[in-house]
Amino acid sequence: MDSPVPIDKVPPGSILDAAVLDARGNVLVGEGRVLTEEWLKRLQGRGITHVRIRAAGSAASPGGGQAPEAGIDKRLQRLDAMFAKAPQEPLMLALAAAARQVLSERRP
Amino acid sequence: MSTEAEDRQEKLRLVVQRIEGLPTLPTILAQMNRMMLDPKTTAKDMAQLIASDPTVTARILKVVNSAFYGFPSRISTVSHAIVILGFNTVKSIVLSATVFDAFGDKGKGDEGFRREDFWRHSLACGAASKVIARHAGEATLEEFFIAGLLHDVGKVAMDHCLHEDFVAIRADVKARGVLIREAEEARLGVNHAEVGGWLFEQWKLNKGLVRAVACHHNPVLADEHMKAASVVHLGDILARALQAGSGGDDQIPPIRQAAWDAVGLKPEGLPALLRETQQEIEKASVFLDFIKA
Repeated sequence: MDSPVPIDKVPPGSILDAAVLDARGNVLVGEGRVLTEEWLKRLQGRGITHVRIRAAGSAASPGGGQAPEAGIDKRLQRLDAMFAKAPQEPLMLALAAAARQVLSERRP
Repeated sequence: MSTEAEDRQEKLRLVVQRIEGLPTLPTILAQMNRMMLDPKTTAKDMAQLIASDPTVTARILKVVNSAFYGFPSRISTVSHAIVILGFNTVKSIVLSATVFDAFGDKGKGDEGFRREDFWRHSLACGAASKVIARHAGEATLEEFFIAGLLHDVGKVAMDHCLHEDFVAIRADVKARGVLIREAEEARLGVNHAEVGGWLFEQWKLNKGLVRAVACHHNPVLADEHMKAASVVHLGDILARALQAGSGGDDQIPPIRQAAWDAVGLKPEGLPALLRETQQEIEKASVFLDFIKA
């Protein structure tokens, strides 16, 4: 796993390599989530300074990997927006992760 | 009945009083209902009734010969379809065709509430409900499919008959980023699920379907039909997560723990459920032809 990256250096579209927790250990964002601009702002607003990312967003070229297909990217961004107001409960986090996994498998 | 439930019922009564021009129970369904209550009714009797409506006949044959059922050989008569599928399933197909006819693309369906997107979401909910029911060990999978397919009938009924209210509701959804159910309750005091349940009750459809539709946002209210309502509740949420169409808002509502417990699924099974739902959506796409017919 890579070192944590300062959140203000994380390009939108990056994928989280580890869940982000608050000071009490509550999950704010689950592993695998695509960090949209909105999510980055929200995490900064919650005092998060660093995150671990698996693949950088389109603003920076992912390290040797292929950029995700635009259609899948859009679906994942829409998914994040759809889950934005959902409670951060284990069942909803499991559903978000499952949907992300399955939508990533689809081709436009 | 509690005071809150009475208050809710009164609000529903006031809303539906304002609904004018809502289709009444189609004659063919009323006749089918009557015939099904008569133990002497045979498949041939029912087939004769259906044969009197060539459009309905064609639709039944199209569905039974589609990938949705996947029978190895062609079924060419309604009586054969009834023998294989049973009265209830054939009636469900007629009911779906009827609802699509009444509300398919004849409503106000403007940019903010495109009928095609709406029915795609409905189809996905039907597919997800069928898959969930299968995992939950239920036997009557088609009934769950139909309940999911028609779960949001109250939305199109409101768009059809209370159009100005429905436009304002959608504007509220957009402005406040709330669920459509919340915006409906804020404006009318009732939601589309209750309106849909009321309509199906007027149509004298079976209690399980009525309660599954009426309580899909709060399955504990469905009493003995809580499991059916829970399946549709979860089906709706899975369909949203797969982004199949749109039900008029673009959010994932929280899963009700009681509904999850009633169905008995496991979180680690969710990816498989979503994948199976995608496959089921493909198979069931024949139902979307109803709105184009």
